[in-house]
Amino acid sequence: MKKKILVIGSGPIVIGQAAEFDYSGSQCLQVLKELGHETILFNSNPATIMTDASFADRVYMEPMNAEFLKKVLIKERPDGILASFGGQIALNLVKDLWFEGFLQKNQIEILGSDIDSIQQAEDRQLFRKLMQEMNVPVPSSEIVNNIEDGINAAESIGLPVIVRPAYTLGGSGGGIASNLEELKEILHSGLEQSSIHQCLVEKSIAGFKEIEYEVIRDQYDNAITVCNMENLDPVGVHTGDSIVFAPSQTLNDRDYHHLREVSLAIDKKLKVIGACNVQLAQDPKSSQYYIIEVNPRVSRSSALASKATGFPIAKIATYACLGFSLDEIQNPITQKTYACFEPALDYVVCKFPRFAYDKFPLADRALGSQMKATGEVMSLAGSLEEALLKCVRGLEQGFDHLYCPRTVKMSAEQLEMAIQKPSDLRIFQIAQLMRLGYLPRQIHELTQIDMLFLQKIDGIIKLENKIDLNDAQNLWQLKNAGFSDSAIARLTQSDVTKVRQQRQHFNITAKRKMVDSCAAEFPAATPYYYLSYRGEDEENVNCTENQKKVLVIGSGPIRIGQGIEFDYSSVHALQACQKQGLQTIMINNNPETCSTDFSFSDSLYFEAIDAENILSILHKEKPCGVLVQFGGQTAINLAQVIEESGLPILGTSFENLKKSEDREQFEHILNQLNIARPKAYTLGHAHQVRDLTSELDYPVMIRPSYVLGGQSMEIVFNEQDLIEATAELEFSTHSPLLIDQYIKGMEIEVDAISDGHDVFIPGIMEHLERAGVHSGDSIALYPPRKLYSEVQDQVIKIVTQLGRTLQIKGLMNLQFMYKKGELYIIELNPRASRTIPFLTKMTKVPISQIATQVALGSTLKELGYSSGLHPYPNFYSIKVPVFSFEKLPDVEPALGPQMKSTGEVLGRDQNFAIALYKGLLAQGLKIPQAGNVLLTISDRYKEEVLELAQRLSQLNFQISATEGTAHFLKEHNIECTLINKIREPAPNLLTLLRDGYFDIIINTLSRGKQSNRDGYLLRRKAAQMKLPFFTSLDTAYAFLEVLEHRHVGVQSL
Amino acid sequence: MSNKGYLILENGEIFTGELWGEIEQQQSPVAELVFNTSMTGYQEIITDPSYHQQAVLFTYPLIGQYGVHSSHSESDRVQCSFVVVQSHCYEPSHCQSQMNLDHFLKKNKTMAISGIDTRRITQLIREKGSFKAMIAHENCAKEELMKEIRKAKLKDHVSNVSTRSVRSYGVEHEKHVVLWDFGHKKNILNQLLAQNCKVSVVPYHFSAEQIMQLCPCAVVLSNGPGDPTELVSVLSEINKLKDRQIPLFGICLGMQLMALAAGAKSQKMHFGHRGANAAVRETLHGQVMVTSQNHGYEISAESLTNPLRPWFENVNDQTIEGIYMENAAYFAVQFHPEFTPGPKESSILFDLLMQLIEDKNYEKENFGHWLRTNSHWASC
Repeated sequence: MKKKILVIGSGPIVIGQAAEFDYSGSQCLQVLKELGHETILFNSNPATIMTDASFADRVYMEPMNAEFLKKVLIKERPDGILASFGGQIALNLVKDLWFEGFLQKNQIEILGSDIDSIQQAEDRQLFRKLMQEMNVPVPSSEIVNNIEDGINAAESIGLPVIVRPAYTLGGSGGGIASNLEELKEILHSGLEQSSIHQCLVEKSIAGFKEIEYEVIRDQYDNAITVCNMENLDPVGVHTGDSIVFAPSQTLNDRDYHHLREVSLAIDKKLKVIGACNVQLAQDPKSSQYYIIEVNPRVSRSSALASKATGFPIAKIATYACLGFSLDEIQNPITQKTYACFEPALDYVVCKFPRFAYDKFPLADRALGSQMKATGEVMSLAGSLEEALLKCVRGLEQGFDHLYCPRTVKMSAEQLEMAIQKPSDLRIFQIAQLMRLGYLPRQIHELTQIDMLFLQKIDGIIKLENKIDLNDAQNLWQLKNAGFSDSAIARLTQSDVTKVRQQRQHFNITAKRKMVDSCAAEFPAATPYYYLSYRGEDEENVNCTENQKKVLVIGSGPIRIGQGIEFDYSSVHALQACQKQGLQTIMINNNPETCSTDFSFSDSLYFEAIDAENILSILHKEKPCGVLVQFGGQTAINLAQVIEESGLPILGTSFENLKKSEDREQFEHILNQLNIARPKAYTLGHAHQVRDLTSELDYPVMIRPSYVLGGQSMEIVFNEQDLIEATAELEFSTHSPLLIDQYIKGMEIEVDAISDGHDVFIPGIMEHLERAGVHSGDSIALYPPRKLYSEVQDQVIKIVTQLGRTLQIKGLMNLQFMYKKGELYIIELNPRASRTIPFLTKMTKVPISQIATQVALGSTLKELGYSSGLHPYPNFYSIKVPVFSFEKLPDVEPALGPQMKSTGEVLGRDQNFAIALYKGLLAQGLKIPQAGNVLLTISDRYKEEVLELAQRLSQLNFQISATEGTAHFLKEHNIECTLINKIREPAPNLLTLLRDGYFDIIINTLSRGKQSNRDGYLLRRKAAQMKLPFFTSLDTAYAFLEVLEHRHVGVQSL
Repeated sequence: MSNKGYLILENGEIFTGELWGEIEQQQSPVAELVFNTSMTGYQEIITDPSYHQQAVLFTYPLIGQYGVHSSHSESDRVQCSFVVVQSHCYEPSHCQSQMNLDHFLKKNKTMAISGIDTRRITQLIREKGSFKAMIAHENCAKEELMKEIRKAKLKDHVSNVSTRSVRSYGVEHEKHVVLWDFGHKKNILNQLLAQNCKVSVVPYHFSAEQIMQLCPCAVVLSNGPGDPTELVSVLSEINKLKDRQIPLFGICLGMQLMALAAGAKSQKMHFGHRGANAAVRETLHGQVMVTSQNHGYEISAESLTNPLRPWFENVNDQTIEGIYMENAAYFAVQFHPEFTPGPKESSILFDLLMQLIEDKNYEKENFGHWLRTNSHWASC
């Protein structure tokens, strides 16, 4: 029977809840659609594939809270609701509505597991009770609701203990405490972040093997495990931050099936319907095990397990939630077997986390029970070594091997110290220690990492010393162990091309291997591949003779600056190619995404996106061209390799890509066209900085070239700062340092499609924050609100000119600055941008698809588009950034030229203030109606803040300020309370903040070291407490508009 | 001397690899090459007597990572003729590991080869059916060996692996079960002992009379190697036992023999079922279980005639995975409820057997009814 079903998505990408839910959610919607159900999607994240119009009948991109969900439910009145595909957010929402009685009252059925199951799995106390009933061991623990109880609990259990807050994402606020001081601190943040103010204090079982099982069950009690996984890092590091292998590597058959049986028993006892993730710990020294936790829904791990095995968990789980039994659902990868089949792998899978430390070089890199990774990569290989090295290559952090220049500089003692604490660099440090002659046994004692893994790493290091380029057997061995050509070249002081040629000479080339979920027991119908050096090429099952093929290069792991938006464009490129009758080949190595779902392309290569793999695939598949403009900077960076291979880059030519990316060439073109640009300098040597300091017009922006998302960007205001800031940077003529004049004006962003003659502009966006805040972190308005029409015309003119001159064929993204009648261009990227999915949805123009068609040779005219700007809609769409500061405990939360946001949400309405209100709500901001506002404003901005303070007062907000600001406000007759600074006696700014005195914080960055440090403490605290805090006055003014709009005053007669 | 060697297939294909395990010998015996898709359990698999005169190829590429432990063997020696892997591990890591697999194979004088494209050979077997093969040192005369392979006749499987004399275990227990040994896995015995049974393991050539003299309350027909039709003499003994109304429970080869005894037909499968991931459906209640499997022959569904009925079926290819007799305590499964290696959930069949032994009220002529209404399944 046809039903109307509402699916809840997971909202914005934050650490702990990333693109995996776009993948799972889109699979779920696909199944519902195939079965003919009417679908409604509730998700605030515009960057996702699942929010495309083609995935659901109606999409509500509204703030993901109970209030808005209820509005949608009342409007749509669905028969059922699916909440297990949108992560913790979705589950929490549906629980709220259930306990409130809303769903019952409105007769909306929860499809899949019922609330009792979810509750029993998630509530620690109920869960423990159930485990005790089943005789399943759980580490001794106590549930506490305050710090004092926490300390008592820890004393009775015995330190070290692990603190786990209830109902948080990715273990936010938790950690391992080995002494009372640490315990107090962790309890404090844990209780604060738990939505029910509750933590579990648990015996630490650090050092155990950490094992996960992905279970799937139907309502008839049929259940299977799809996959198990083992962490390289023993218990203690969050599984999202761990290096993980599938299947388990050190469990024998009895361990494996014992833990499997326990996982199934728990799943059945809980009566979970659909996917469930079970985490366990196995003592490496005995048969003792413990259950850690259960997630009764699809998760990051289920996405990983789906990609690792080819078994599409979310799809099958959807069927199960709709009442199908596992033995009647066909396994889509074989189309011969049924979902009631446990995949058998004939390869090894490795998952490696991707961190944002390139953006936050000073942040604490220690890993613990709180997840910090922004993304991950996965690899499939014939050996564990190869799997590990493939991941390292695929991180896109400049590694081509277990070799990290900064660890090479460390002494053995330093390394020994370092590896005792888990961090993102630990595996590189271990490799380095082995180079220094340390034995696996010694390292095992320091890290408790299983000997098996250490032996394998040691094996890799030993091979490094035995390289002989003239020995075919040796070269084959190296390739089988996963050595990249570039690592071999580096280790032999040769060059990559030579290594590759030598390899080809010996006929050692990468072979296509298939992922089929059944270890070749059944013929598979699905073209899901990886590369390996063993054996022979397997047939490409989907390859029809004479059909033209196009390779689309994906965007790799999710990181700050290159997120899910690029996966969105990649998927659209695939769709457009398929519509043209072309066969599509996708390469990407991010297991969370839609683009690595084998049903989205005709052939999927799950591989690291690097020159070596691209060349292997080009050689093998001989596509008629390659699309590099959709996979972000990752893909564009490979243009040269492709050009040199002789295969055509589709769309903008390599020469023209280079012209727009190379500063000198680009500047030359701007000069020819008479387009203004902030003054810019390119420096190849440190001494050039000193020569330049006096002639610069401060402030200036400094940044290394070819960067993503404003990596290491900084604004400096004087000579001294410039010298200090540049002293820490490494740059050379090869990768020079760029210095730009900084203009404090309005920022404008444009996405356009050019065919070299016509340039069609789907939309122009205005950034709410003035220049200086990274475009990815500023609030973007579409249509613009304050942009003069003559400036807009000028923008259109310049975009058109540049599209024609640079012969752009496909996408281009441009950023402009406008100040006092002058329009400057900041940059042009000849590729997809972060704003494409947002604009696509708001304009209903399929931007990436049109661009793909243009890249394939159509003209805009042929496609029905012409030069100029697409008409604006009659509503405001606002893209609001979302940050993960509470997961990154020492990252500076102030906005600046360095990008910090991890995701985005949408606010949309005809009225600007309402649109922004929705956007901010969706971002997770608490919007107060009244209360105390703290103002601490640096001198540079004091004048600007006056009006803000006045208007806040009119809304009956009480203003508080520290000395300087208070003095200034009083001088201007604004009433305010003087607050002690952080270092002054309590009650001071920090104690008041902690006690919940402030409702809004407005704080601008100041330059003095001390005041900056105090400001940092304030901002960190505010971020952690999720208070509305603003470091840009532009955002604060916009927020004020929202407050004013929401304000309903009272007046005496 | 180099350890280079060949895997030589009946169809003429030759793969080069590295020999390990027993390397003193120049060549392995000829064996039927079969693949197993289990990702763990290599020790249990190679010591399973059902693999007698077969060679095992592991589709999982990393074998030997957790070593070998004496208590994990399914018999007292390595049973398969040789082992084919993509790679194996010399330095295992597990607290129970007593030695590495290489050492274990050496002790058992079993040859092995690594560095083989196991996926390719699996596909070959999948497409062409299982075939004979051997491994040999690179110095060998390949042409001669090929002839030897083609000539080789693999027979007398069960007589080589069955016990030579009666052995009793758990003698303190009351319930007495005879385990009719066609090449049993140790864990069948262990499962019965865990159910507090006294178990007598008897040779395959034992007659019904000899078995009845032991006064068992049930007879379990074990797994074992080879073609069930090689054991014609056993069939009539099975029928005699049935007529004596003693509960009969068969596993794997045991099931095939019971089916043949009841008039059904067996046939060689294209390449068999060998792995730890096969789902079977209990057709009376619809419950699905994931099972451990290892068989190269099947009972054809069409050949079942009343009162013999299908009980379990394979979810993927619908082959017969279990049978029962409507009017006698006569039931059997094609998979391995004793697991090791593999999933444990079907071990409830041993509970079922115990329930049957203990149930004084069931009407012997109405076994089908007993099974259909059994609370054990109903509770699933």
